[in-house]
Amino acid sequence: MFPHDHIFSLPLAANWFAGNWGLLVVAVIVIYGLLVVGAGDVMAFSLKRAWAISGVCFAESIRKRVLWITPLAIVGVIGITQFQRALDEQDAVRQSLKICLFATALVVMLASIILACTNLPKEIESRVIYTIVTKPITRLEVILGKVIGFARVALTMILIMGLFTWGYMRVTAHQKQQQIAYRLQEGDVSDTERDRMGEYEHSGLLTARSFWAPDQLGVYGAPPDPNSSQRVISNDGEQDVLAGYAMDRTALFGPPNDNVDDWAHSGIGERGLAIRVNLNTQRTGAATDQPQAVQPFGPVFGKAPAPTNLVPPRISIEIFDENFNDLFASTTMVGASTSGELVKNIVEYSKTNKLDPALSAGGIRLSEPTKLPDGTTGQTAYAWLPPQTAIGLFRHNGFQVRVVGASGNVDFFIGPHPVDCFIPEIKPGEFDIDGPHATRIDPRPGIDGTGELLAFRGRLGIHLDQEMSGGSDAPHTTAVYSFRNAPSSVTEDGIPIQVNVQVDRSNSEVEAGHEDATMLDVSVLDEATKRLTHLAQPVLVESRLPAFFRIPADAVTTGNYDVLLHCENTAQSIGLLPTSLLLVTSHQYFEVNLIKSLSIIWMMSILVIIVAVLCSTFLSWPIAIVLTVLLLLGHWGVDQLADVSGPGLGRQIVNDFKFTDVALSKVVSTGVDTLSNVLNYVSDVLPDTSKFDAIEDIEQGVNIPGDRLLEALTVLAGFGIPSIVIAYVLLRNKEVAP
Amino acid sequence: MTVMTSPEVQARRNTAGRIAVVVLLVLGLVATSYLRDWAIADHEAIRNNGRLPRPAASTESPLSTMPSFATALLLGGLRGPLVMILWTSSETQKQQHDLQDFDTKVEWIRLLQPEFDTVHLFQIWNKAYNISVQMASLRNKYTTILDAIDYGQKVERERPDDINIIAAIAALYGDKLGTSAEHVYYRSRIRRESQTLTRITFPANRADDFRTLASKVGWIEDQSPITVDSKTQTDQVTVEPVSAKPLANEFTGPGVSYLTETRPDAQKHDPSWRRVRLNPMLDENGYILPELLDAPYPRPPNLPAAQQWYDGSTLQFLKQYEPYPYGISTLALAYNDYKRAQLLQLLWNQHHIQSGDTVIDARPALSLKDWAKDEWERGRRYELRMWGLSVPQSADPVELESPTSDDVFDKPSADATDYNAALYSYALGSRLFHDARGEFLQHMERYKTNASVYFVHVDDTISGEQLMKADHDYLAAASAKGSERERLLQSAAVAYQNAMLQFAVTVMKYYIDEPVAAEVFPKDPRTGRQYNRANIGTVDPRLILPLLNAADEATVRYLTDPVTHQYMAARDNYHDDRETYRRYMNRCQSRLHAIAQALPAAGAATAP
Repeated sequence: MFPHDHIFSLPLAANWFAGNWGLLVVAVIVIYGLLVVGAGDVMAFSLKRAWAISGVCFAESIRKRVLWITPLAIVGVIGITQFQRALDEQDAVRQSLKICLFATALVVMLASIILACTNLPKEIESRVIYTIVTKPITRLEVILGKVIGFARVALTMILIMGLFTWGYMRVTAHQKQQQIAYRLQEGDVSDTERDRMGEYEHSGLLTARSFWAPDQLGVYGAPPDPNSSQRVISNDGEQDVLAGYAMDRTALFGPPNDNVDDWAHSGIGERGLAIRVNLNTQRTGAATDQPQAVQPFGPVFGKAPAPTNLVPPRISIEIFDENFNDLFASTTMVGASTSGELVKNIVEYSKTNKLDPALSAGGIRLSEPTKLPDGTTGQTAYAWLPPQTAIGLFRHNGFQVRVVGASGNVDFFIGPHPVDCFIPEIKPGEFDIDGPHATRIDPRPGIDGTGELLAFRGRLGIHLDQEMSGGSDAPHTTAVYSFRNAPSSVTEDGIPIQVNVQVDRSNSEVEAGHEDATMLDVSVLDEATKRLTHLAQPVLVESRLPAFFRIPADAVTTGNYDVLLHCENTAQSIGLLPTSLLLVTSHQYFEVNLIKSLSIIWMMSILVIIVAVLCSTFLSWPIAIVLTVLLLLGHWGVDQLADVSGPGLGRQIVNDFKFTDVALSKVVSTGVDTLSNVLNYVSDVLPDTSKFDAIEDIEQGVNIPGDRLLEALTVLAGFGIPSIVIAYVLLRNKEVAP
Repeated sequence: MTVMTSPEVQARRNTAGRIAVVVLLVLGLVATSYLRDWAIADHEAIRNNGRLPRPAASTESPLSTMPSFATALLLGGLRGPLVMILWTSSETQKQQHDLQDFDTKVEWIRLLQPEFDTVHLFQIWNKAYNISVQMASLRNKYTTILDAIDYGQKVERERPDDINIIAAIAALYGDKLGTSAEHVYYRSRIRRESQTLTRITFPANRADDFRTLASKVGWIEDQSPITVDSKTQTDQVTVEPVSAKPLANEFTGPGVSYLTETRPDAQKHDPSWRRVRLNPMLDENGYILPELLDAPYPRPPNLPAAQQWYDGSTLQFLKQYEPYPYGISTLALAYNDYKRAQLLQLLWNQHHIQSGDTVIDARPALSLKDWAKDEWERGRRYELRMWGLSVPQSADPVELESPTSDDVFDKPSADATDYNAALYSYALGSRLFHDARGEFLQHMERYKTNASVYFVHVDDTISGEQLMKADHDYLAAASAKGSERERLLQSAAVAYQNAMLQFAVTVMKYYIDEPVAAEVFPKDPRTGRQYNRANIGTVDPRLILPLLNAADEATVRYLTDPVTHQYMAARDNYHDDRETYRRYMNRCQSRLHAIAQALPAAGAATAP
């Protein structure tokens, strides 16, 4: 049985309910609370009366001098910013902004919790509530009135803090821009800073940018030829290529079967998965470095003769999961140069079910150039994933076939369709790997809708980035960021691009007496015209700091183009992520971004108020404060524990504590796992406050997308509306006045 | 009987009582603060062995000068948790190479833990090594190291005369900036920025004129490039005083101005401002700025001259080597701070929390020797430049010995500025080697059990002093006339001879294998016993060079495989060292030949 097999066995409707259970719960609460329990109050609801109650709450809060917190917070912000240290002027501005917004959120949340939690219990305690509930006011209006009233208080505080933030940041940014101008004038900038500072001086330190991410990142052994679909991976650059496959269980495992176990043992679960790689190679480097079929016997005196009988290079084939994690190593698959040889190796393997490393898919010798059934010519290598291993694919949402060179001094030429997967036909006396009787699996289409979805990657870095060596270490290695249907963002200076990479360098060149800045050579390949435009000046980059450059407007004709990067410095490597290079599509006023950020804070405060009011309907105010904080931080807390509270925690604890008693181990293991599951389920019903991230984007100078506001609004509505209904129902049933 | 008081009276009493409690609390806090300061002062007085009390710490940052109990009170007891969060968060950021607001967190840690030297030592090291290595460009690495020095100096201003902090700053100047793999870049930056530079502005159409004239007075465009202001059509360049002074006479005209470079004070007072270059330490004439020699503890007038004294000034031990027309070496700054640390240990009885007393005591001597070698290398580079030879930027210093060794002293110099600079470096180098020897001998006297470690250093300072003196006199002879020239050449010949013999002795003492020494060393005719490594320096000087040659031959024999008859280079542990000394000796020999040709009458004295 498979751990998630229930997912596949649920009927369609059940699946829909499983995916939208939250919405259903909300609907049930709202319908029950408003239409079943409080239909009368809903009918009698008056916004005017609710507004009047909110006015009372607002006035009372102002009387309590709650707004005095804001000047204190302002003084605190100004004080704290005096102790900041920054990498550069932009960092200083961002830190100040972060402190301002953090202080805003903090004071608003604290004030909201305290006001909303204490209001109702104190009114009940002091019997002030008598004066309200004895009037023709419904409990629904009371609850809503209080929520609106405190939301108005929160809004007032946000407006005051927002106004301060705006003014303070404008003054700070102005000062910093003067410093930038001074540094640029004095030459007090490093080579890598000059363009960045110029950009900040030009566009301002508070301006928010909107970005467009590239569709694909590829790292190649040589710059792509505009007129050819072939790409190069080179072992010198430690590159590989991955061909992506969607998890079409029907295609891979045959028609659906109610018995998941039987289903998983069909198709590739019965006959294994055959992989055919088709590529071309070209030797690079000195002839004497090339492997020969027969090594000369004995010592070689004098100059070694040029090899005469070179053998084809080797490759390795592996399978990765949909998240680029290693799933099946090459040593778990049978490998061969040709299909005939693969059949022989499979037969050999079947005798013992043990794989001889020499017959595995690790370091398969490529075939001599051959013509394939589909008419293409190239050198092939085959791998076969045994059925008992292939079953493991069943639980995944996709897989990728990884091809990596295993011979030095070789360029591997990869066409648009380098990998084919088959379900082989295996019958007594008939073994068809990739012939007419085998079933071919369709790959994911490429980003242009043609060929296969291929990911060309560099060496994997410690930051999960792809590393690209530079200079004479890898003279041809090129990273390509592909944009497809990118929006037009041409300015008078060209198309603005931001690049932010990791730079690692060895010490081999640092004896140089000059700055030795890292230089990226940039070219642009227009997809429509196949024209390659080379930027005259290299882009100078510093590790993990943004650099800006512009593509000439006439270099591209449509939104389909590739940006090519090559590092010019030897003994340096560039770590690239798919979002290391971004197209700057627009600049937005700081004020607009600030309003969005403050709106998110306000939405968060409304949620806090609703939860606080809910808790205060049935608890004394101190306990209500504690419960409110717990409810608001619960989801976040479980998220923080996510890594350790996953499946297997019980088993891990049993191992860590070295329990020897089997019964006790089982009790502990089961108990911890149950608790962990309960924790996870509870967190699912608590509001996800991480959706109210009002600071990160604006701090990073990124335009806050509308989706961010929508997400916050969704959480607010999803948890706020039922919470108001529950609060109403609780208050309705509570005896607050004789 | 119960006396009833009116509510107003009761309220007034309550208010008065509350005010009294608040006043008492405030008074208690103030009194505690004074008592604590008194206790600290008393503790320091005892620790400093009754010497001068520390002056009050500067008010650099009121928060960091607050005692930790006060910050704890101020933060409502949350100082500890806050610091813990800051530590965890900053270290995580460091590991993730996310340096945004990292410095702020480090600064807050500094402010919240001002009394912990271990914290400061870690953060100084952290910034200079862990953070600077995350930068790719050398300039940004340098800026990060300056930030570490800034951190140290800030702490030093708040906690003056602290051996731990002063030694940490010295280590940055000496190890990180002075001798790390990137030292070529760092040393040149420190030299240049320690001076008060001159900004020259001139019309853009005179750039070629400027280049022609400036290149003759030591200006190097790579180090101080011309910046173009397209708005005003003017060019600007910042040059060192040694180039600016001659240029001021030759490069003049409409639109040409010379201004001493200044930094706006506004930057210094901006809390988030980050230093991108060193502050000047010298005036236009190469003398140390007076504020860096302000002594909080002036030397008592009746103190004997030989008695050492710590006067608390920032550059106390560099004044003796003034002026610095070519800037201050980072190794000189290291020496200065190490010397301060040594005296704090010797005179103030302070002890470093991480290094032993012997380590702290030996550092001034070692850094002084390093500084002398820096001047040696600079002298060689100036020599190459003055004779129009190419100057490798990153060569092994030993490689610089050969190219000019055969040049005759009166070969016309292409550049008078470089000639003067070479003379300066050699003269200073000779003096520094001499002083370094004094430092080594004093250290060995104080720590006798450790003395053997420094024998080779002492021998090196003897040969280094002689070689520098010889090189200086050899070059100086070119500009001298008549008998003065002859005197200088004679002096150079003697010094070269001494240096060569000392190099040979050094090799025989430390860089040959024991069996070789046993085979080669002769018997002392006075005692009849064979010389050994310790006393081979006392052998008849005429025997030294033949002995060295014999030792070389014996080494080859000793390290020859009896079966294959091949020399086993891998087993020759001292090969590279001997080669280095041989190069120095070859230079001496070449120069002696040159002097012999120029000065036939002095043939006997110059005979190699």
